[in-house]
Amino acid sequence: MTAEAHPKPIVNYREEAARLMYDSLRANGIDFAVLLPDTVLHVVNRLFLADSAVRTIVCSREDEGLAIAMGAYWGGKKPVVFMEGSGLGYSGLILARGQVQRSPTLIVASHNTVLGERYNYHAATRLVTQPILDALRIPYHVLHSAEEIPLIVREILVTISGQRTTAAILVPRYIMIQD
Amino acid sequence: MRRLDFLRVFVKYRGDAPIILGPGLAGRELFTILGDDPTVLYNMDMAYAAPLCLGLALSTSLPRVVALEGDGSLLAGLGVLTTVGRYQPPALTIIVLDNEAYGSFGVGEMRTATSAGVDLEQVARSCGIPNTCTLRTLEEAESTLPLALATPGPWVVVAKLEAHGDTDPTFARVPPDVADMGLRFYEALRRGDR
Repeated sequence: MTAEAHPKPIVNYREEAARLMYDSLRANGIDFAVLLPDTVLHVVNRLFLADSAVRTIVCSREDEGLAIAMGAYWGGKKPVVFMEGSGLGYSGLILARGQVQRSPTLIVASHNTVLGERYNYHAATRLVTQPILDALRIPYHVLHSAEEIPLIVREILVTISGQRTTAAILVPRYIMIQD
Repeated sequence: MRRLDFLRVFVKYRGDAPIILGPGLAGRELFTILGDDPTVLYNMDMAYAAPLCLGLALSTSLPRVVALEGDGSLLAGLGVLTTVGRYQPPALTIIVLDNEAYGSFGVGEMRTATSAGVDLEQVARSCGIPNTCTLRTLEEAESTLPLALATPGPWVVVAKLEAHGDTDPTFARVPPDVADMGLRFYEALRRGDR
């Protein structure tokens, strides 16, 4: 499917970057997705919702979504959770539980501490996204360019599988949106 | 209805269903009945037994997955009921052990919102969950749990219980390790124990 099937979004998306993220996740076995809609990841979310081969669940809050994904991992799936970075602020306890009981998931979240944070209403989001991951020693990578998406997705999923740890890819706005 | 008596009825009709149990004294009581069963995950953190079971129910062909939540634990994460209502997983049964109290703090000393009239069955129904009931007696439990644990769901069963704290101490002496439980639960599901 393409973005043309939907009303024109209010931001100018880099469709090719979203497609690269979707294709990389699918090529590396992601078969269960949970999301709470987010501006930066909107086109990626849309691609997953259009893919009938992947069960994609829209949750009501991000910590609930992480728990759903961890349940799906126990069910034999390879899950991903998409969220705005603010959702990590809700999620400390379930992330910690997942680490203790070793039920991992991949997180793809918008926002980060350093790159491209232009709006001050994301100030709190920016303050929780990476610090929560740091506090729990959950590994993550902040994308610098769309070109690195295939490599990072492949290798972070190797780490998740090999180490049974949750891990995250943080996506700065400029990767997915042309301002 | 006393919680231990209700749990005995539940276990009678549980079948092979894996269980994830929220925090609180109910875990001690279920542990005295079932013992160290790898398909039971005790002491899940507050608000997360139901969404973990939802993920399990949506991702497998297991005929039944059971979340045993306290009223306090479900109140901490009510949003999950909207997601259950949206996706209608037929294998999911959520049983709410509703003693109208945060039971770890003495016999009904700290009350939950259900003591002030919040009706969790009606909340579930308002979220679009079609199969709901409130059980007030063991006779009602005997007649309803066989349906709630074997017919297509999702189900939300609210069991109204007495608030009490006189639990068996066995669990407290030999608690299953949280890390071990997670790994054994996963392996048991993968082996097809359930």
